[in-house]
Amino acid sequence: MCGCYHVEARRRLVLSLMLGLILLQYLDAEARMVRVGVFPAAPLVQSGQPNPSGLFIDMIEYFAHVLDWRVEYVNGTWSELLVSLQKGDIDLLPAVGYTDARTAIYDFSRNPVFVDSGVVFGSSRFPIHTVFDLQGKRVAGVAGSTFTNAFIAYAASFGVRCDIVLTKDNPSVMRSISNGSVDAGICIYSLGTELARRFPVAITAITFSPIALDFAVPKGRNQDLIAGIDRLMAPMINDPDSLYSRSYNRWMLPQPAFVIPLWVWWGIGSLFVLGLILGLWSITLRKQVFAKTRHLEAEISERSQAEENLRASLREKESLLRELYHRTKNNMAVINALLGLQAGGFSDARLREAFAETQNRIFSMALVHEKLYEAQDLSRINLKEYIRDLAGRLMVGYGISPDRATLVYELDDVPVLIDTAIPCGLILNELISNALKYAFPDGRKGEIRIVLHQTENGEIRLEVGDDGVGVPRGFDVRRDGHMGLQTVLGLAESQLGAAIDFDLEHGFAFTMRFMDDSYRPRV
Amino acid sequence: MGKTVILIVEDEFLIAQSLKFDLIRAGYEVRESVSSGTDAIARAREEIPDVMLMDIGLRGDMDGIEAARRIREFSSVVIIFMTGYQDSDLGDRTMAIHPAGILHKPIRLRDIEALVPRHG
Repeated sequence: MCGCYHVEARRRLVLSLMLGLILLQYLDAEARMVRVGVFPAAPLVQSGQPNPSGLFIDMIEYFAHVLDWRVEYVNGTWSELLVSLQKGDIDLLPAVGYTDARTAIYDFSRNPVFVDSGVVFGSSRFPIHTVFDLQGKRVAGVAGSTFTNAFIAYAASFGVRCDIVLTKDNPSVMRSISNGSVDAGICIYSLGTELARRFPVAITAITFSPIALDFAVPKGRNQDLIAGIDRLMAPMINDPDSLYSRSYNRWMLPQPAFVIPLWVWWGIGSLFVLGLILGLWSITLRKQVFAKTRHLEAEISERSQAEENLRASLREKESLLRELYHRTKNNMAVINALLGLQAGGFSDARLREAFAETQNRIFSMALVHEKLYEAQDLSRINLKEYIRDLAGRLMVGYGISPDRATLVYELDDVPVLIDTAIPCGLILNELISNALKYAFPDGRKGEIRIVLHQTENGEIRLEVGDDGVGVPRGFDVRRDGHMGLQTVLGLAESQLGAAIDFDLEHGFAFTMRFMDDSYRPRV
Repeated sequence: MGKTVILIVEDEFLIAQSLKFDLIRAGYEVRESVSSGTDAIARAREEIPDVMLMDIGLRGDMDGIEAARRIREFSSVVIIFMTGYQDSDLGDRTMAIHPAGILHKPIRLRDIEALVPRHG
């Protein structure tokens, strides 16, 4: 029984040892858990969410990386964290001033990360030049801070006694100075200069108690942390390219302010002036363009109005001219009617014939005005249409049936001026009348041929001929022609400047060639 | 005492003819009419008429006033202007020629007779 018990106990011991070894192995594999206290003391340490920052924090992060720490930051005030460290509630506290008194409670890393000192901060309410200015004044300091106690001793060494007002942390010191509840305050230099940016406080020349800031652990505990820190810090202290040196430069040295070079200011100034000039120029140009545009718009408007007036005037002129042509034609018709009435009073056939001939001549002129009235162009008529109308009218007037005398036309469209149309009309009237009266006597049949051509150079050829009985042999038109033929010659040669030609071999044919350039358009 | 010799300068053939017949019947000696200013100047120089009946509105480049002005440079012939425009602005150009008269169309024989004796 007893032997069995021992065997059993030994087996249990062996199992326990094995389990312990496994656990130890397991624990060794686990990262080192390190609770680090952080508090508001930028730029050394700045507690904050989600991650703290600062020179000491950079170091801790580096240590954690190299030494495989799992860091847990614990926020608190400086006073609280000192107590927490002493009690072992946290494993490591950064930026702890090295003092003999503290070495009884904490263990410190060997290489100081930063050497700080106490500084007195004041306000602008009254000047603080030396420590003697603080005699009897109220001075704030963080409770439990080395610097608070050091200041009391420092002041006392000069025989200066102050009322010390304790606060929980450094921002509270600054706040007290700001709100006037104290006359001055004690703060560590590094943090004080940082806080001076946020509070209306002024740094003084009173410094005291330079002190090395180290990492601290509870006395006799967490020696692995101190050992690791010392091992990693030692080579970095004097290496200008080390992480420590770079971090120190970043956090502790004043960052060079970005100074804009003078030439940039000159450049900006020049550009501004140039922009101003261009802007003013642009405004001036815009004004000029605007003024010009308005002027042009007014001018266009005036011109449009003038054009409209001109068009209206032209329409009026055309209207008046048409009216004039119309009235002229009507007046001629009235004259014809008067002549007809006058002729009716005579029984002499020759006299009545003379009246009739005159009426025909007046009609040939009236027809020109009728054509002008109808024409688009108020200065010209189409001779082709005129000839057809006149010849048709004369056929009817002389009572010649179309089966007895056939009118054969060979006519181009030839527009002529009114001053050319009138003599042409009178000539045509005489020639067609002669043919109708004399060419086909005694029931003779035949044709009257009227040709009108215009060549490319503008020469007009007008021909009136018939295949009738013609004139007696030896007949000379210039010598023997009656008044009608003499009129034809005179009008053609003298008035139209035409070249004329007669063909008396087969019937009677008259041809004249002329240019429509003796007159200028009158309208 | 010979007949007064008249030269008609008129580009309207029928008007010239009509005037010519009227003047002949009235006892004047009338030469063959001309219808342009150029012909008028030539005939005035060749035939030396007593009177020229000059139409102002001749067609072509030279009007009757210009033709008369040139004739006046070498001749003191009596010049009577004729015009179809009642409101024509004759002005200084016409007066510079010192015409015997300005007649408005239609021309009446008695107007000419008042200005021109039948016998020179």
